[in-house]
Parts: sequence; structure tokens; C-alpha cells
Amino acid sequence: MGRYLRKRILISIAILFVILLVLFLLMQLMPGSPFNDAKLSEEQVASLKESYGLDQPVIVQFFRYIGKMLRGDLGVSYSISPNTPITTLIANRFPVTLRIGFFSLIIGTAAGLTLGLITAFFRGRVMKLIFNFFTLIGIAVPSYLFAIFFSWVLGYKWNVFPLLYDFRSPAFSSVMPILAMSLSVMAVIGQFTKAEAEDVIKSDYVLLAKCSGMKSSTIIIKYILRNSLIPVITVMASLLVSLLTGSLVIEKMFSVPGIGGLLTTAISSNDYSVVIALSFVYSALYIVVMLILDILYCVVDPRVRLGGKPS
Amino acid sequence: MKMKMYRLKSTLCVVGAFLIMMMTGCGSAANTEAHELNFHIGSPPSTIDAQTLSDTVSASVIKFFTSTLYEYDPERDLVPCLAESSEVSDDGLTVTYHIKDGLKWSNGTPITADDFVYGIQRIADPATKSSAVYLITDCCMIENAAKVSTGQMSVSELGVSAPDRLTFVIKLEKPCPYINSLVTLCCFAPCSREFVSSCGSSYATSADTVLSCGPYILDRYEPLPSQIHLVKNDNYHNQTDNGIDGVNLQVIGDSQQALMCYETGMLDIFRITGEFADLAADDPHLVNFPCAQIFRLDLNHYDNEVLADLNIRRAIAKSIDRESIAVNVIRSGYTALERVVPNDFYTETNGEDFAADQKLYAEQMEYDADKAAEYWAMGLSELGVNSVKLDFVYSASQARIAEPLARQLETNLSGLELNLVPLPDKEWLTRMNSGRDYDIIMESWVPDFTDPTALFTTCLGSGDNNMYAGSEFRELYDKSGSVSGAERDELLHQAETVLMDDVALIPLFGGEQRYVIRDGVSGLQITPTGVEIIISGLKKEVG
Amino acid sequence: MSENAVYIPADADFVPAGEERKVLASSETVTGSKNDMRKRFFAQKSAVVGMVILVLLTVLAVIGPYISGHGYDDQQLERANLAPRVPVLASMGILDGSETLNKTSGEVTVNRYEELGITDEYYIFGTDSLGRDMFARAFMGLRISLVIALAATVINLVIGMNYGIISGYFGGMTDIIMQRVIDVIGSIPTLVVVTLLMLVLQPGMGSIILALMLSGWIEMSHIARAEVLKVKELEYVQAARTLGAGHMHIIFREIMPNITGKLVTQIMLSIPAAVFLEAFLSFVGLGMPAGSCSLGTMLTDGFSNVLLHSYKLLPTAALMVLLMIGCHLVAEGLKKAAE
Repeated sequence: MGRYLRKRILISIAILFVILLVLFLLMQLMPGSPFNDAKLSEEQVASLKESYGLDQPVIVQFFRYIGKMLRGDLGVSYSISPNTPITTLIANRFPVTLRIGFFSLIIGTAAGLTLGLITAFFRGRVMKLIFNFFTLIGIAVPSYLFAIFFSWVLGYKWNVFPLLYDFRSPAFSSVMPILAMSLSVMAVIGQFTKAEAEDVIKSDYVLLAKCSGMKSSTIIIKYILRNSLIPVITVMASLLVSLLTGSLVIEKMFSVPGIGGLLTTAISSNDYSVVIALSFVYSALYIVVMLILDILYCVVDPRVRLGGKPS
Repeated sequence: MKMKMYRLKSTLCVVGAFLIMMMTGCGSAANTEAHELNFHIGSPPSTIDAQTLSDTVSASVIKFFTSTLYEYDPERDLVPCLAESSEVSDDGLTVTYHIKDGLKWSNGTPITADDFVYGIQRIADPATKSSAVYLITDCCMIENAAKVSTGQMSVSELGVSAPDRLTFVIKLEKPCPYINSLVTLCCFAPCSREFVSSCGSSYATSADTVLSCGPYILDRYEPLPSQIHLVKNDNYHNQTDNGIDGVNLQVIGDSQQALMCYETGMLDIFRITGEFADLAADDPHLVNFPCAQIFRLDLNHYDNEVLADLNIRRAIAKSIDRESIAVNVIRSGYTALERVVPNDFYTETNGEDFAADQKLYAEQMEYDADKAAEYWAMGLSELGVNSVKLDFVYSASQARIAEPLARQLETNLSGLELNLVPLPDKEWLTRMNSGRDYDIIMESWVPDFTDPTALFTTCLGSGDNNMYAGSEFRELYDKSGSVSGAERDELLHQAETVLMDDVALIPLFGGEQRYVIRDGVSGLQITPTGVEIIISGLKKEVG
Repeated sequence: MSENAVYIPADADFVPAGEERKVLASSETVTGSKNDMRKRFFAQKSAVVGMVILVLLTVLAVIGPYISGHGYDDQQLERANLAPRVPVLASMGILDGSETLNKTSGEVTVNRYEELGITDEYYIFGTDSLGRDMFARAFMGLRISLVIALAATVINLVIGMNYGIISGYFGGMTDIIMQRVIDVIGSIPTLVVVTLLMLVLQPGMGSIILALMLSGWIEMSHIARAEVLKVKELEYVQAARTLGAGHMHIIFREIMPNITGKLVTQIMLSIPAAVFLEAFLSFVGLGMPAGSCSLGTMLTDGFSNVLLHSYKLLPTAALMVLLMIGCHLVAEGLKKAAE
């Protein structure tokens, strides 16, 4: 276990460094300049470049960059909010994104598990139809279409939930973004759970449990749910990616002050220092979560330790 | 096993309770606070530091918590605000403002003439990295501003001074007849020296690190906000009981979302853009303000030899059916414009509208496909080519207008091929301000002050791009700076004629802002340039 | 699994082992199993439905832009924003070109066809804000999105498959190095890769394909490698090797036919992913350049118009959803058929 963990962490760190290098190189390729405001005089531009260290050779810039990143200094925004440290920008927004993402994941997973388990256990025609409908919709419809649909129906027509995020009632106004994001989670988890649960139900030990007269609810929770959960962990990684992507669109739609919205704003105004910094944050987050999932997987399924990392 | 079951159940309970708490948490919060004004802006402000701002969105936010020497009243007349009165010396080079006594910052400290001095010094100080420097070096030339801003002179040598606590003096290098209009810009607002130094580098990065001298105080702000909240400033000298205790500015990028918010009661005022005009067309709550937000094509006749040909430029000018695009595509916010200065923008000394006759330059600018084809053929034969390929640069956010425009040009001028170059706003702005880095560019901007010269400046270039140097236009422009009254108006007219005859630029559309306003809210008005709304007249009654 | 039937030995059980080996080594078994797979695939109702949807969409993507009689890029500014008007239904009062506007002052129903006096014209999906036929545009958009997705997928397939096969087949140090490279590339979220790439490159079809390609091939290579590792140790491959067959021969003749099933399934999953990503890029403002049409740009355009002209979003959204469902059903069917 310890050896595997150490190896896994070392690889993660190496990956992070490679990503830093790639990001730095990309930064050199980015079009446009941080000083797009032509109302600045040339002398001002020169002094700005100096203060940002952009007049140094590339190699020096790279090592400075790595050093800064490791110290948690992500640089400053060039255009969307000039001179504001990006760390400040992210610090304000990260909790919001995290909260909405977390709840989407929880609600989506809970709904998906329930739907998948029920469908697998009761195997009714109607149930199957309902299940197929929900999962197909969840998979086939992009989250921003859900978002506009919810905005239109729940927000505009019925006026149940506020159309926009409001700091005066953060929980209530996050309902629609969470709903819009959790649907695809639900669909993916649902499909996986159903497939796994069907296998488990057919297995000998469940048959035995049934024969020995155990209650259905006990069987579901003790055997089926637990055994179906293991492969669900593997889907989490891909779900995380889709949540990150979804957050970009959803946050833009509902004016949620999160990092997804920050990234879209930065993209559309070519604030590449922010785009790069956020790319780093996203990658780091992704790597950390993958690491955690791997460890988790390794805990629930000891076979993994023997075979190296799961692919 | 029983243990495990129990644990699972309790976990479920906790999660469930958490969810319910979240859903209902502060659930009953009303959509609108009764005594708050809910308004929306299209994008987050890039800064709340008045002295560094360069974009209209930031200006419209800052205006809520800053006041300036002069301001537009709800009738759109220029009136003293923080100033009691002002006088200009005979040579026009010294402007003296007498500041009202008893003015206070939101923290209770008095506002003095030195705060105004410091404000302008901050703009000029290279350390501030202000993008508003051009206002004091080009728009009005404050003594030594150019040298101070490049670090060749110290800030103290700038031509602003405070001989006593209530007198603020600006020394100019050249007379500036429109200076009172210029100082309505937030950049010229006072700035407390003490407060800035006490905040250090964190100045104007949050609600706590900025002082208010306007009707409201910033209450909630974070860099790049999605929502800004302001409360009433009790220390404001001209505070009126207008029923508005706070202002909630919501950042909404999508007009559709904004309209939904307006209709569900989350917004009190909705600014209509684009096609949504159709939905508000016969609404009794609709108000309409002309403003100087203009669209135009700028042709680079310096570097591009095709566009250097006058007939080619004439052909392009006459091949645009502005009316059709304004009516069918833009649908709201803009009307066809066929001269540099829009109407209702500048009033001449004799009291007449400078641009009352919008058809004055019809010969050069009016749509006429046949005439355009004629000029085009002439131009092509002069150049000795059959086809021409040009880059057409525009802001990606204005693709809706630029695309049909490009199509019109290509249809009416056979042999013309336009290479469409949509750019993000910032980059497009860079190109636009460069004055050279394009073949054709679609410009869209708001002048800083209400004087025709504000609309001429882009034709002059800056720094090394000294365009029109030594030309007739340059001469007229320079001369207009040293005279005043009717004589000056005449020179400005001549300058405009030169620009139109030469087709140096092609006016497209003049702005117009439309709003729908909720019952109970009244007194909405915007400044003549259209940069911001005039806050002093706003009222809200709770019915 | 555990049926209680008593096992009855069949004749086949008594054939000498040597002959069975011969049968396995010939490529006939492969085609044989393929035929079985086809049968199993078409035995599933949902898979057939998916297949029909995909075929229909492909046909429409090819001929769709031409059947309405209006070019997909013909602007007629005065005919902007016409609501859908369908030939037969119009006379029955359904979809006759009238639309209800939710004005701020109340609902109003208008029929712009009548206002313009063009009641003999039919725009089945209506027109956009520049008066272009939405029917032709929707299918043109579908075509472009499909081309992007197919191109990206095919390139992914070629790169990913080769990478995976080489890595898996040769094993050892080659495998370790190649897998570490994949670890690194795969650890950068697709979103980040695509966003950064689109910022560096000029917007356009080529850059979108490249962006999709950079992240998509990894999954393909995983599948190919896993299959190669499995197949490599099988008897017939071992046999071929001992008989002196070259690497190329083994890879292309013995291994390839066995991994196609899984790869086709993966293709069916990556096409919708690519279409999704394209739409997402358009939505964020990094998609196809102005003036062009793809499902993404059309969706984004319709999206900002739901309140005013909802007909601009619905057909494109429906096409997109249908494409997703089609690909998904086929992929599911393939998966089940392969089991």
C-alpha cells in the first residue's frame, strides 16, 4: 500500500511539473498582449513590462514562474481586473464553485443510485422505460439546455426560484444551477449502477441471500448497493470533468460568482494570465481528485494494489 | 450489520437535512428589497479606482459613489455639483474652481481642494498606471501632464494646485472650451491622499478600501463582481429623499436573462438591447434617450493603397444601406448616422443643434448602389485591378451588425472580398486605438465629452501615428483650440466637411438607449454622451 | 449463469484437440463471430432505433441543406425572424408562420408572412435574424458538426489505436515510457487543453478538430492496449509467432480484427462527445468563426433568443439531442452485442 501510494504521489507531482511547463510555453504563444489598452503610452507599456518581469529572458521567466506558483502566487490579472492578484480572484470564487459542484455531485449521485437500484431490482417494463428516458435525456442534452429550460419554467414562468445567484440568499438561489448540473451526473451514475446491480442481482450470493429469506431492503443495501458502489467510483473522475465543464456554462448563465464564470470572462477578454492560472488550478484539482479516487479504489478493491494502477 | 445500517441511515438523514436546509435556508428572501433600486450592467467593471478607469461599465458603477465638480442634472444641463462656481481666465489657460464648503467623505473627513489636486496627480503619476492619462494629455492639456506621465517630471510640477482649502486651480497648455463637460468624468473626482496612503496597494480592491463622495457608499464589492451593492451615503451634501436606500447592481451578460429578471421583478430598470426591442415596443414604461454612442467604419488610407484611392472610399461609403440594417438587424439602440456628429449632441453658441441637419452630407454618405458601383469601377480602373481583398476587423460581440454590413459591401461592390476578422473586445480596442492596424475596422465607442472634437480625435492618431499631419483638417482642428464662440463652431463645421469630403471615416449608426422602467421608479435620464445614467434624478416609490 | 440443466456431452467434445487449434488459428472464426455480433446487434430494438436515427441524420446532413429551396447562407434582411411555416399544416392553422410574442406589456400574436405579403413562401424552421433559412442552416450545421466530429474521431482512432497497439504489443520499457507519457497528457483536463489550444490557434474548423484530437485519442489507446495485452497471449497469436510471422503480420492480421468491435463502440461514444465539445466551445465563445454555421453556433444563437423566438432553438436542439441519442443507443447495442 505505502509503496503504491508513494509511487502514485510522485507521478502526480511529476505531472504537475510537466503541466506547469506546458502552461508556461503556451503563455509565450498566446496572442494579444497584457497591455491591450492603447491609451497607454509606450513608456507606460515599458514600465508595465518591467514590473511584470516580462523584459527578462524566457528561461529566467520560467523559473520565476515555477517559484511563484509553488509559493501560491498565481500572478495578477492583466485586463479583466487589472493588477488584482489572481489568488484573490480565485479565493473569493472557489468556495462557491465547490459548493455548487459538491451538491450537484451528491444530489446527482443519490438520484442516480436510487434510480439505478430500483430499476435493476424491480425490472418492470414501466420502470425501465422511465429509467431509459431519464438517463437518455441526461446524457443527450447539454447542461446549458437544461439551464435555459429551468430558467424558463421554474424561474420565468412559475417564478419559484430566482433566475440569478444572489449573495443575499446564496442557498436558495443556487437551486437551479445545482439542478441543471446534477441531471447529467444522475444519468451517468444511474446507468452504471443499473448495469452493476443487475450483475450483482444475478450473482450466487444474492440468490443465496434471497433463498435464506432475507428482507429485500436488507439485500439491496447490504449486497447490491455496496457491491455496485465500487465501479461507480471509477466514473467519478469523468463526472468531475463534466462538472468542471458544466460549471463554466452554468455559472455564466446564472451569474454565479465562481471560477467557471471567471474562466469564461477571462477567455472572452483574452486575459491569458488568468486563463493560465485557472488552467493550473483546474489541472491541480483534477490530479488531486484522481489521486484520491485511486487511493479510495485501492482501499475498496485490494486487487488494484497488486496490478499497479487501474487504467 | 445493524450498526452499519444505522450509520448509513444517520448519514442519509444528515445529508437530507442539509439539503433541506440549503433549499429553504434563507429561502423566503424576497426578489427585491422594497427600498432598493435594482439595476443591471452588461459586464463586471474592471476597476472601481476612479482615476484608472477607461471603460464605460466601470464608469457607470463608480458614478454611484463619486461626485465631480460639475455634473449633468436630470434635464441634461451642466450644473456645478461639488463646485460652487468656476471661472476661466481671459487667455483660457487657467481654470479656477471654488469648492462648496462643508463637503464630507463617507468616513466623515472633509473634502478639500487638495483632494482634487491629488486626484489629477494620481492620473498623471506613472506609478498609478492609469489608462485615463490621455484625458489630461490629449483631451485637455494640463500643464506638464505629458512629461509627468512619462516620468520626466515629478508629480508636483503638474499644472494643478490648491491655493487654499476651497480653491482648485487647473493650468492648461491650450484653452479647453469644454472643460466643464470633461470634469464630469469620474476620473476627475476628488481622491483622499490620506486614505489612499493608508490603504496602500489594496486601495479600491474592496468595499472597505474606497471612499465615497457621491450619493451612495459601496457596501459589497469584490474584484470582478457578479453583484455590487451600495447603500445611501449620509454624508453626501445633496442627499434627497428619493425612496432609494440602496442600489443593487447585478451583472448580467445576456440581455435575455436580464429581460426575464425584469419581468419577474428582480430588476427595476431594464436596458433594452438588440432584438428584445420587439418585446417592449409598445410598452408604456418604455423610455428612449438619444446618446452619442456611435458606430462607424474607419478606413486605413495611410497604409493600404487600395483604400488610399478616394473613389474606392466613396464607393464604400455609398454602398451601405444603413436604414435596412438599423431596422432589420439592430432593431433597437441605433439609428442611421450619415455625419460625424450625431444630433442632440452639441449645442452651438447660437443655441442651435450642431448636427440638426443629418442629411447635410448625403452626397458623400447616402446609400446609392448605382453611384457606389460607378465610383467603384472608377477606383478599380485607377488602381488597374479587378478585385480587391481587404481585412474587415470588428469586435466579436458586434458580429450581428458587422456580418450583414460586410455582406452589403460585397454584394454592392463586385470584386470586393472581405476577410472577416472578429476579435475579442480588448484586442479589437487595441487595433481601433492604433488607428493603423487594419484595412477596415468597425468602430464603436462613446466620446468622453460633448464636443465635436471628441469625435474627431480618432482621425488624428496619437504618438508616432501622427495622421493628417499638416493637412487642412489638422489645421482647422488646431485652430479651433484657440478660438471660441461662433467662430469656433464654424471651424468645427469646416473640419467635419473636410472629413466627409475625404471619406476619412464612414459614420454608420448613432446611439439611442432604451429602457423599460418598473412602476414607481422614475426620473431616469442619461448623460448626453450616454456613458452613464444620471443618478440624482432617480426616485422609487413603494406602492 | 447457474441453470440447473444437466450437461449432455455433444459430439464436438470428442474432437481431438489438435484440430480445434487449427480452427481457431484461421481467420474464419473472426468473421464468424462478427456475423454473430451483427445478428445480436440487430436483435436489439433500441440499437436498431439508434441506427435508423443515425442513418436518417446522416442522409439529412447530406441533402438537407438543398431541399428547402433556400440557400443556407442567403441573407434577406427584410425577411428576418420569420416563424416556422409548413406547407400543408399552414392551411390547417398550425405552424402557419404566426408567433406569439411575450411582450412586456402582454402577449401579442403576429404573422410576419402576412405583414410582408409572402404567404406563398414556406420556411419550415423559420428564418434567423438575418433572414437566412433555418432549415437549410440547421442541416448545414449538422453536417459541419458531423464532419468535425468524424474527422476528429478518425484521427483519434488512427493515433490512439497505433499508440495502444505498439505500447501493448512490444511491452517492456517501450510500454512503460509510452504509458507515462499518456499519464501526463491524460492528467490535464480536456477542458483546459481545449481552451488553451483554442486561444492559441485561429478559430476555425481545423483548430477545433485539432483541439478535439489532442485529448480524444487517449481513451482509444487505452482500449487498444488492453485488448492487445489480452489477445497477445492467446494461443493463435502465439502460434503465429512461433511460425515466424512478422510483427506487422501479427498486428494487422491477428490482433486488429479482434479489437475492432470495442473500437467501434468507442467511436460511437466519441462522436457525441466531440459534438458536445464543439457546442460547448461555441457557447464559451471559442467555437467556429463568425458567419459559419455548426450545431454549436446555431444552438448558441438560438439560446439567446428563447424568450423572443423560441423556434430558433428547438429544431437545432432536437437535432443535437437526436444525434446524441442515436450514437448512444448504437454504442450500447454494440457493447451488449460484444458481450
